[in-house]
Amino acid sequence: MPRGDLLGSLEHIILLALVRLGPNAYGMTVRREIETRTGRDVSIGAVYSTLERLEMKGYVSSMTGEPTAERGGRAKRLFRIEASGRRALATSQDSIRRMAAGLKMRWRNV
Amino acid sequence: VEKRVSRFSRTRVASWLLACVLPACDVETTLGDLEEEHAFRGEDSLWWYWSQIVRSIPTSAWASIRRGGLASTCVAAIAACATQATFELGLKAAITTLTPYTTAIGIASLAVTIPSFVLLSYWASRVRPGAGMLLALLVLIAVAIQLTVKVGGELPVWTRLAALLLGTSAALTGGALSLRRQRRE
Repeated sequence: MPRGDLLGSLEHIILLALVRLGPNAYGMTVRREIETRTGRDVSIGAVYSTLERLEMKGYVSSMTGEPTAERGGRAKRLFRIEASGRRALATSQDSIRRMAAGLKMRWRNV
Repeated sequence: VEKRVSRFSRTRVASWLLACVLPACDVETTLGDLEEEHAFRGEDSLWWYWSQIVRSIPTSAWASIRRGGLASTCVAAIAACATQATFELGLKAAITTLTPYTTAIGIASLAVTIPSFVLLSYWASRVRPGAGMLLALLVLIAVAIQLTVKVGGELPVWTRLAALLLGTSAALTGGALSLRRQRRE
């Protein structure tokens, strides 16, 4: 991963949500997953903006799903993490793990 | 029936607001997501629904500006702004050589300059989709500076406040009209 392409905090969380949700990943399920697991109340606009940015980087791809009645006949936009996205996620996770190694006791004492 | 009417009017207003900042396909997807979550949360989640719309507007606007390329969107917005400023200055100079400034003249000049601003914002948004929003932001900044440092002291405050409200609305309207045109195309 090039140096300028490090994942931002929301990008990182959204990629993890995509891995968790698998084929059922679209705007609202991603938003709900983040809220349930982190308690962070992100707006749907922020989720889509981040997903669009990740798509431009080639980390995720999207396709249009079937319209459903509960959505007022509107289609879903389904997202899928790509191989480059998985690599970026792994690199980002490793960086955080290495930076945090051995620090647990220190920040607990602060 | 009441439920359907309230859903129809809610989605119409939300659709109009989102159409100011998002391409047509994204408006439909976002509205679908919000409707689904609204149904999931129950009928008393209207506050949540509208807070999502309001909070989504700035991030979506910024994404729209970036989508068209930040530099080129800025160039389109600044070009539109400069054209409008030149037009307004020319108009003002022409009017003041003919007659002294009155309230009626102020209203008449607004009636000419606001539609021209809508057109310019529309044109800029056709060139770069986020330019209308950027233009609205530029108007806000310019009028806020005018109000704070009192540039052009001869103009009454109501003219500046009208410029703030109408100018911002005109820029957003031009951008929204451009997005609606793209939707039809």
